[in-house]
Amino acid sequence: MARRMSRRALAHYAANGIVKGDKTVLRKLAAYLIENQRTKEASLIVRDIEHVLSDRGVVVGTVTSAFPLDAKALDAIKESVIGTTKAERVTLSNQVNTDLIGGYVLTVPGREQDASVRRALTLLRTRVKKV
Amino acid sequence: MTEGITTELSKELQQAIAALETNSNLEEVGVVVRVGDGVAWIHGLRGAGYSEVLNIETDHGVVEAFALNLLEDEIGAVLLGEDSLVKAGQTVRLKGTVLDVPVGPELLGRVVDPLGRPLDGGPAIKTKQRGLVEREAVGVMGRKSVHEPLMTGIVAIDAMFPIGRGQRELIIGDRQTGKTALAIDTMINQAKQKTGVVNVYVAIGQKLSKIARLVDRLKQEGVMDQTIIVATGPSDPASLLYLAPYAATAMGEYFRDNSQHALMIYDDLTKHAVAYRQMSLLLRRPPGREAYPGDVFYLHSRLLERSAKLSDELGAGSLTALPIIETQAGDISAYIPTNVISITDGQIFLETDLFNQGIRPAISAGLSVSRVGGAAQTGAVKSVSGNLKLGLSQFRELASFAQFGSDLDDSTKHQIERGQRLTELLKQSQYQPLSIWEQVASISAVINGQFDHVPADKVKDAQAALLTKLWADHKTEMQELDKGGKPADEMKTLLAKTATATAKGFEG
Repeated sequence: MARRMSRRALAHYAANGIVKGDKTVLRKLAAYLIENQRTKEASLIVRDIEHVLSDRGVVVGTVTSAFPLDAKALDAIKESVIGTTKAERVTLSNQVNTDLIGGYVLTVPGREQDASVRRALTLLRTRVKKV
Repeated sequence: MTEGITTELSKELQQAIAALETNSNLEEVGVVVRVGDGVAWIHGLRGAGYSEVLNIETDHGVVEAFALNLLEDEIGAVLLGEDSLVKAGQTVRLKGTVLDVPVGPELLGRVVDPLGRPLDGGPAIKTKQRGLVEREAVGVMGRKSVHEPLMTGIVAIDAMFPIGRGQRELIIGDRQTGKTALAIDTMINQAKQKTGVVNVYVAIGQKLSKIARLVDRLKQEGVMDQTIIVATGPSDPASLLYLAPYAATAMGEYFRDNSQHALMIYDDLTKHAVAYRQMSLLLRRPPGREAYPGDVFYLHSRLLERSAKLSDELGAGSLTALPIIETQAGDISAYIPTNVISITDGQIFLETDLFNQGIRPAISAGLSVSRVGGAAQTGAVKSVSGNLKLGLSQFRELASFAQFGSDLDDSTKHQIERGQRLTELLKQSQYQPLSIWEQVASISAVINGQFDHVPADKVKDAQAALLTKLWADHKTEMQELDKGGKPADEMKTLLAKTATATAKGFEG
């Protein structure tokens, strides 16, 4: 029986292909997951691939906010991501989620900056429980 | 009261707002992949360390967990809170610390859970310091050999299997043989003899009613003021049962490291091993003998190694451990009992047969041993307890032969009769530990033959009369004897004379 390949190893394989411009790599990966009945892990492997890519200077992230952000604000956030991650290429998309109440959540592979009012309230709730 | 809470809340709210304004760091996050049976599997958090605390953000606040399985693709974390709140997809962050608990004198007199949260309905515990739950044991150079006695107040133990401060002495036996009773008596003795030793009692998966009874008794006996109780019940998650002895040891170490003396009672490590087995199986660690994981020995060895007598340079404090192990049908060769026997510096074995015969404490003279306590025995007790253990073991063997009814020579008969008196003498009611002078006077009366004509069933009465007479007529001398020094010849003569006089009233 073949040894089960770890998600991290698969992610490295896919990321290598993507960086080299191999357009078939994702199809090969999909075929492997189907054949080994591991399709449930697809979303986790995507996260792992993003993580590996970010280690190599390509960061794909999301900014979620309670209200749409203007280009100036997005640029400022992008600059701060470049500063923090030292990435060569940063791509950010903006999503709106009114549940956040205020502030924003910046998500990049493996890391997050949650500056939302929702989280502040969650932390407050936990502290009050302890008191 | 309400005003205080409002002020506290207002402060918290201000802090939360401040945090919202200043939170500009990208934090490492993971996501819960699956959860169940108190274990959460987390994707991400590559920087997580072993035993590091993780915060899982649920809809009802943050639930803490600690990372125990660091695998290539995911982390297995044991939840410290309710697992029903944790769902797949929730964000997980690193707390940046390993587990720690509040430590300090503020905990004395309190009943807390393994995370230091009060369970006694008292006010919140605010200590100045926190101690690491998992901490390395003191090294060789930081230790000193055990040499100070830790008096249990139980004659059979103090005379035959003396325990020293810094020693690890296992209490082992079947269910209902008086294991916890021995430990409680030892705790009570610390208060009665004003030894200043702090008691830390760890209830691992014990019935809450039993813990409540224990707390009541300790309060009645005036021991609670120098006692910390770390309690976990059968309904608590296995993670808390697993943490309980480590957290309690951290609390005890505070006193050890501050030149004080503490006594740890782990009640019991069998349940602790079972809780760890449950966690390990849920974490998919390979099962070994009796389904315990491979590191079950290390589980207890690293815990008990933290009990030590510190060197003078480190303040000469001590942490003594009395772990309890429950056996099945007297089988001390089972997996966990043999492990803990080999880790500790001796064991007190309690036998069901002796217990049922009314010999309580039901200590087996043949199977019990104290490997390092001899050096710590007080001179006073040592002077009278020389051949006690051997004599008692021989008596129990001879007594079983004597049951065949054959004629016995005088010397054997004499040995059996004295053994019977000795057995009666070593019977001791619960919650009645004896001080040093009481032990010395009692043993001396039997060993030196002054009670030789007292029938065995009247030995306890004769003992009580002797102790009352000695305290009434020779209080100063008894106080001197209580200091533990080797008794002078005059003292021996005084004890012998009083014992002979007392025995006359009980001779059959």
